[in-house]
Amino acid sequence: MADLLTHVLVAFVLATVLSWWLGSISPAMVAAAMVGAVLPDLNRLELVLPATTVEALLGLPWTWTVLHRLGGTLAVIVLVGLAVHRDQRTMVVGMLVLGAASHYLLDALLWQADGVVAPLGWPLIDWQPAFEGWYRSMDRWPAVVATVLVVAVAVADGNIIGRPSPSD
Amino acid sequence: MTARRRIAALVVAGALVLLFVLGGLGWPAPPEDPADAQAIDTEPESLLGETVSITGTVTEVDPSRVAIEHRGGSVELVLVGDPADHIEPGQRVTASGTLIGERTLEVDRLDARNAWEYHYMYLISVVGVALAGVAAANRWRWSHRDRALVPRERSLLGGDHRG
Repeated sequence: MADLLTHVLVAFVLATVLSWWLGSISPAMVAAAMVGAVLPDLNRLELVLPATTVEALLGLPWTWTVLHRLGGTLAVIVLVGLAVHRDQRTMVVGMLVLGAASHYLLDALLWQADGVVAPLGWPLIDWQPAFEGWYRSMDRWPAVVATVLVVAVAVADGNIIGRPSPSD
Repeated sequence: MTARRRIAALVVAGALVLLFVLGGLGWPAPPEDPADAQAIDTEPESLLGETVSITGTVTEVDPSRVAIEHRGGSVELVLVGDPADHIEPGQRVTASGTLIGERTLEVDRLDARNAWEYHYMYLISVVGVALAGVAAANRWRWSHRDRALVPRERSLLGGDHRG
């Protein structure tokens, strides 16, 4: 993963820019995209509940890495979508997909020791092209670039937290 | 939550649990890089001449020696080759190369980072999670009537009421 702040900021930028053309992308939907950008990193559950502990408890092989793969993320998106009111469900799922897709795109650009893209599409897409990599998760510059983009987009958008409506 | 939604959620949650198990089994392919460190520790002869990837902490230089943790414990490897010439004790390295001895890796690609860089990554990621959490709480609420998440009519932090 690139650092999670970069993922969240990039999702904000993408969703906000899209909202300039698609009126259905409200600030709530921008927030949904930001949440979508976090979902693949739910694999950090490993830090709280190691897979080895789950394996010992259940007697089954287990890996949280699945949450950082396409199949696991899609399942989580559907679960979150089911918790949303039906009127907003389709749009929310779309924004979650946007956020998660931007996460995977940024992660596909990561430096990997073996020089190939991580198996992010598991188990649906078997695609691991050779790639030198542009950055690692502990590099500082991606968050700096993302922050600059957020400021630019927020200024262009009028408000970083929410656009005042005419009645406000 | 309607009965249909509850059943759908159960089915999807079941599918997710199945994926956790299948991933743990390495089917249809490992969702992560092969557990090279463990294989180097337990059956290094099977990897001789093979390309392996490792992550570990530098314990010694001259020769560069790296301790690699894996699920079953840890193993020490000697790194040789130009990329391993500039690492320092305490750094965390990620490397790949050819295993030329049972405990010797000829390094092709290597990236070494100091501990503080990992601390930065975790700290900034916590900030990212908090930002997404605040954005979601600011714009969404749980409706007991609908038993579902719905957009707030007014954001918690002010601003518009478009939801």
